[in-house]
Amino acid sequence: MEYHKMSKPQVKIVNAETGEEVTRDANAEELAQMEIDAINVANRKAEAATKEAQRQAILDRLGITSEEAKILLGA
Amino acid sequence: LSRHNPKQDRQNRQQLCLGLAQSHCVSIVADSATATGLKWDTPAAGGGMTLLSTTSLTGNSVTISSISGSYKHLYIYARDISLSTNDNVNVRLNSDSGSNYSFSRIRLSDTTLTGYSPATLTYIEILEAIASAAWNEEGFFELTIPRYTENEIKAFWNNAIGKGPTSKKSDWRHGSFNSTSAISSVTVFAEAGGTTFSSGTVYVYGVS
Repeated sequence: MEYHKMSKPQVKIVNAETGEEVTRDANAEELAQMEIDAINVANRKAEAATKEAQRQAILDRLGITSEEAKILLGA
Repeated sequence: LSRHNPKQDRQNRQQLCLGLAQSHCVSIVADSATATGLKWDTPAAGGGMTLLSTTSLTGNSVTISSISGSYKHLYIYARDISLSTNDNVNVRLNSDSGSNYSFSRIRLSDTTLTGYSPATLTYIEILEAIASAAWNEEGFFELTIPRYTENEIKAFWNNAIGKGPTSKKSDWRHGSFNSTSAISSVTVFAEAGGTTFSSGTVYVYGVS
């Protein structure tokens, strides 16, 4: 996701000593970090989806539901 | 009832104890200003919690900076967190986005208990919150960082409750932060950069 092409995410910074609050657009460094985070999230979700697909394929091969698998495993 | 500590007696302080444990004692000291000539001794200074910051969660990311290093421990509590879309809420310390956070997690997802121990991450995963401000779907968490100013690797403990798209999730995380710097800022952010906080308040306490 390219955040610089969208309305920019807002970043709030609060100074705990003075109470001063600043709300501003995310700067270039913060936008770059958000893009890295988004890639990591996408990778994690893809990994989870792959595992779920593998799990479902095994259940299909066995011809049982996930509830029945839980009973089998004593979960 | 027994009387303790002759040395303190010489300082005009009497200790009256139930049994022998020091923790079961009370002290009385001489005070000529009272009618009886006695008063309860001033208790030793104890610990306490000082609220350092109360901050509303808005936008994508909120950083509480310039956190005082005058306390022993740092305690953070956040409540009523909801987001513009289903997303996770994470935390970074000292704006450190390196792979310096390691933790394991126990999650009770409705009635299913699972464990999770990812490789080092670039943040502390905190909770999954939903795009709803319904009272039983908001996210809440606490994060404790003992001895947060010491020149040592930091441990952290986190408990959280949130309701994801399909289930209620209670999380317990224990981990460490690979930094020897004193912690002076905490950033709470929605995982996807396009997500914004719809509600939420973060309280930062210094614990003496």
